[in-house]
Amino acid sequence: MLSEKNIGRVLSAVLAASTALNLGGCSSSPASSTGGNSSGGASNGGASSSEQAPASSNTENPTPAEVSYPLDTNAKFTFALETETQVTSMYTGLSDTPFGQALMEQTGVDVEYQYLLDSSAFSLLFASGDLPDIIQFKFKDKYAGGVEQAIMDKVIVPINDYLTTAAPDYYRVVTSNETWHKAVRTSKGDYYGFAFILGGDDGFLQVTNGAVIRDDWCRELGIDLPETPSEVYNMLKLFKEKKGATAPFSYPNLFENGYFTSWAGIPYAEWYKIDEKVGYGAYTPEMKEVYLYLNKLYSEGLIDPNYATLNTDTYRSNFMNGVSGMQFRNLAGGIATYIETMRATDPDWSCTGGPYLVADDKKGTKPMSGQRKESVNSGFSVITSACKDVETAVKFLNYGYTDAGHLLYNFGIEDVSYEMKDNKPIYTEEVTKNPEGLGMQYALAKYCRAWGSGPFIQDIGYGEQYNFRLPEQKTAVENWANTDADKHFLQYANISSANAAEYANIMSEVKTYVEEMQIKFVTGQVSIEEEYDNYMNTLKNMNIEKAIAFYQEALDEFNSR
Amino acid sequence: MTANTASPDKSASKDSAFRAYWRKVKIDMIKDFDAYLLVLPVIIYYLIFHYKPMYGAIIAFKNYSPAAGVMGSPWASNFGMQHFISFFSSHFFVRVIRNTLVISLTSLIVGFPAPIILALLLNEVRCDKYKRLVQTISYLPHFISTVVLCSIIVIFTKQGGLINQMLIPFGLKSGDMLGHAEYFVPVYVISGIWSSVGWGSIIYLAALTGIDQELYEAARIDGANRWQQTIHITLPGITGTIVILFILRMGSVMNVGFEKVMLLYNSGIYETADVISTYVYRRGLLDFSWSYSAAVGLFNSAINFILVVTFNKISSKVSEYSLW
Repeated sequence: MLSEKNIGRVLSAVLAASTALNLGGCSSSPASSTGGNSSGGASNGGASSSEQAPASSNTENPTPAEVSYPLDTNAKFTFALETETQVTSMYTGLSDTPFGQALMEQTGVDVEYQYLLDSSAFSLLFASGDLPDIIQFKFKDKYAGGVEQAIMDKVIVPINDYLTTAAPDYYRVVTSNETWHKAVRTSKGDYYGFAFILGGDDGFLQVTNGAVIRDDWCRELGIDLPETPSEVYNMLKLFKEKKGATAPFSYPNLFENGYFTSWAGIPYAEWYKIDEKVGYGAYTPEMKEVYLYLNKLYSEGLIDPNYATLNTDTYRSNFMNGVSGMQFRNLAGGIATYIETMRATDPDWSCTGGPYLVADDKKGTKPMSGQRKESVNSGFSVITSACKDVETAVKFLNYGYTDAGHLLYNFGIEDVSYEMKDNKPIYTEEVTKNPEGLGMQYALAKYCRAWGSGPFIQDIGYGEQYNFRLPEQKTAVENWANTDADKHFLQYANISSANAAEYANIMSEVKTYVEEMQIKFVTGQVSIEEEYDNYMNTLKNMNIEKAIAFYQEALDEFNSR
Repeated sequence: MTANTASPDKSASKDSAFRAYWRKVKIDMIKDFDAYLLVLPVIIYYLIFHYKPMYGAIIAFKNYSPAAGVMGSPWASNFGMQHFISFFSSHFFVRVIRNTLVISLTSLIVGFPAPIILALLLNEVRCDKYKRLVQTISYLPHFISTVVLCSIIVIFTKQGGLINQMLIPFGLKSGDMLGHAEYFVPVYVISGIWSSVGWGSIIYLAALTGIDQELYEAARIDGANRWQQTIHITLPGITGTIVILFILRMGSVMNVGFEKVMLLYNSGIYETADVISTYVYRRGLLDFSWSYSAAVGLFNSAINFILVVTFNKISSKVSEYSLW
């Protein structure tokens, strides 16, 4: 035992050295870490590989250590994550679900999950200093000062020293893709935790949201799905006049995903990049056109008059009851749920995703932007300074990136929630047509994590079977994905911890102000023609340009990694 | 009580007076040790839950980081005043102060007399059954939790809601009432009166029972009508209670009920609805600027403290009533 450990140490030192060398010359293929390994299949999300997880660690072999599961340990960890009603409505915690039981059995690690209500609960948790062993949280976006600050605050313990010894599968996965490898490290090169990665190369898992439109109405009215702002205007007008929709567009956030801004040359209403230059959509002269356009829609009653106070239940029921005919929504909770609910009584009811918009005179060109998710989700599972056995915790979190773990996290338990057909895991009817009448997401929540997030790679097979159940969903994704979003979507860049406090201060004011002014401009409480210059000046006085410079710095830093 | 009577001998020096005072306290403590024992839990409660946490307020002068802890965090720049300076120079500084004052002064001016009036009216009701019925009904909203209460308000005031419909003939703007900035204060204040007037009147009703009935008898013999009796006997009889409650109320002028604003407002009506406490909540708990929001909160408490002391001073000058 002792000698094994020593050999392990020597090995890790050698590997650390070779890793360091590789970091310098970018991460195309760190030979020492992938050489001799046969289970690279996990990295492309194709869980078709039916190989077992490597049986046992062989310390004689000059390849990185393999971790064998279940681990021989008595470790018990606490694991905090944000509340998931999909789980908590049925179980007291994740550890009671069949997934939690299976994970415990397969890894040999006892985990107690703590659900925290929202990010303010996390805020209190960090402020209290009484940390659990593992936290799954969007540190990059939501922790004051970002990831680096969290490391300095000793909330996060970087796992650099354990990567090759205790997390060889994770290491193999992240080094297999250059972008992923950049995104899982801080600017100082620290590997700070285990990422939730959206697998698949074609980007389909990254596109889930967009404009959802009643295409059955469009067909009856003899119009195509709109591609330009004036077509949207005409369509909404027809919905109102011919279809009796009293609030044709009913959704609280008009500026989501750049739908209403991209035609004016602004990819997103918030952060975006054009030719690697950072911009803030609400602080551009072109935004005036967008406000004027939306104000026109609003004043003609085409946007829900109460859009600012809408809650989820209301805009969902508005859409299903024909009060509205357009909103922003996603594939599963939106299109699929609506269609499955409504077709029970009205077989002709339909909706699908409409393309993003281009300017009236540019019809037929590719839209500038659209919704995108970062393929490395910012929700990382990290190990905290409270954890006494970091190595075992790392091994536990590494499990999701092994082949067996990949199947468990994405598909659940074989012959219960999925079956292997032609080497492909296919969800069983227990999940797709749950006998207890659970929706697919809730049924999935019992057996796996693919619907949510966690330390693993989301499999494209999940997306195919969950997001593309219906032809309308396929149409939607094709429409939504057909954009230049990759060039304009600002992802991964981290505001450096030195600038973080000032950046947070500026943006807190800017966001509140912009949000309010947008409502006032759209509803016409404030004249856009008279006040727009004032609005731009106020933003300037709030130091928005400084915040843009901070973001530019962050982007440059990321690109140069 | 005994402590107050132990006034120091005028001729003696301060020091010996002090010693004499403590000697008296000591004797008193031994004599009435059971009474002191009774009060001990309360003192401990205040020390643990109200005084000990107060030291945490120093994070307002620091750049608090949870890992470094309260004492270990570095001091903020500008002699620790950085967060105060940021707040005073914030674009929203004037607005949150103004909103806090408007909401709370309106509640005070409109809301404070309401339970007094209700108590006076109830006092005049001669049918006991009816009086009790009115009291019970007016207490009820007090027992509804704020979250439920606010949901009720939101439902009743939204487009198509009961109150919204009733007010449309009087020129109400269409749409959710809480979507219009100008309706926030009325909705907030009036719903506040509705939910608290019955409960608030209890203390005045209790004070009313303490008025000597012979005074009314004498007044009636002198030919005073009901109105004159109210003005000249009832009101003076409860002035003490009113003044004390008023002073206490002044102490919370800057504390607008946080949950209620939180549950009723939306970003469209921040113009009139965003108050100090909601601002602190958003900055501190949603944006993780602990020190900044602690600074704002501390500033808020300081103003409250000054207000209580000032009004108490004024009150003890112009009337014989004061808190201490």
